[in-house]
Amino acid sequence: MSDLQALPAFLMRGLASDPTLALAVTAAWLDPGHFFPEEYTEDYIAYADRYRDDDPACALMFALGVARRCFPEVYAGTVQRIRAGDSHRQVTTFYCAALSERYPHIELWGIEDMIYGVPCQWAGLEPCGPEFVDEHPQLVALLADFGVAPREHTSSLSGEALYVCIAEADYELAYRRATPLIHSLIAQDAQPYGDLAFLLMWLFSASGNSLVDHSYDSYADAGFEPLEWEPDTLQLVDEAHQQAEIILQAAQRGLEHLQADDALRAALRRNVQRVSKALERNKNDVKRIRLDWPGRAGPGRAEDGAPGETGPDAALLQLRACYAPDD
Amino acid sequence: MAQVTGMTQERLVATLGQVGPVKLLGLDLLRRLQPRGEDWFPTDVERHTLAQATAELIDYTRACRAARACLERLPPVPLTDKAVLEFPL
Repeated sequence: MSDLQALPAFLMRGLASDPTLALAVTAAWLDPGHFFPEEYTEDYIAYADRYRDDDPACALMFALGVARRCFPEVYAGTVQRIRAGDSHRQVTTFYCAALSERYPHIELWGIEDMIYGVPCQWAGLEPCGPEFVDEHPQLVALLADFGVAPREHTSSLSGEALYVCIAEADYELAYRRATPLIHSLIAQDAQPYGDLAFLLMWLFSASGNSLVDHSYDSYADAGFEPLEWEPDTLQLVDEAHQQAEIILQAAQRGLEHLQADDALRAALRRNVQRVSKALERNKNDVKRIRLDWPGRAGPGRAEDGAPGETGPDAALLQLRACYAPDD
Repeated sequence: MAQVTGMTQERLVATLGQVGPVKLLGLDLLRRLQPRGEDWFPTDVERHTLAQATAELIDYTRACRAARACLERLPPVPLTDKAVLEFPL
């Protein structure tokens, strides 16, 4: 090794012998983000509207700023990879994988969109939207069980038929009919009723989980801001995604139950009729209406700590934890 | 002036004098694991240790910044042992 090649180590030994210089070198080694120029700091990029789509460094600096503030271990790993000469793709792949390791239910496919907030998988339905009837024929059939059928939506100017959709007033009525059923299904504390409860919650945006109750558009239209990269927010979003996954898989199973089980579907229709009549009689407390469901052994009642994250047991445990009525 | 906070020059000096040296893992690693050859920084550091040292340094930087902000906002402190002859009272 030549003297020139050995020079960095020699200089570093000299710098490390002085307390102040050693601290500066340590900061440069472990926390280079501290020395970023202003135009590459997280706040500047986010709030001064200086984000440039065509500048990979801009996205990387923003991602590093987030990591430095929220998850230093990801920041440390990313910095070391940049220093080791990894390509931009390798660095971002590492970053996304490290974030997934920490928050397994948040899907981050790349760092370019981080500027727009924590990524969320909005799975809510828009039953009164123009695409719903074509995209969700099974759910349209389920709404029919609640006495709701699609209607032609006509232009207010020309009177011309534009598309077929569920009218909002009809959907509201169906929701009022569904509410006592959801309570009754939760009270069964067994499958397949738990799955059916989640199916109705999804259909009527009544789960209380924003990811299940909102589509991307309805969330934005409601005036909610994108979720900021903060440790507490990330933890919440991760849990919300985990719960949403359980709810949506349960809802899918609920649909399959209804299609395969004629007795269950007949019971659903019968109970809708009872609730509808009670509502017509203007009964104040529809929750007290007696609803009957076919008795069955089902896959069993879930015990606390049952294995499986997204199976029927997980759905029941979530129902108990989040929706069971107070005694 | 002293009635603003009750802080005196002597108390301020004593308070700052009580701040002990901080033991930082990153500093310790830098001194123990001397870089080799063409490397500027130590390279043989376990991932977990590196993350721990980084987190500690970031926290330390924040603490220093907060302390600096406090000192910048410090109300006037009377200099009781300094005679300013130009402005005798």
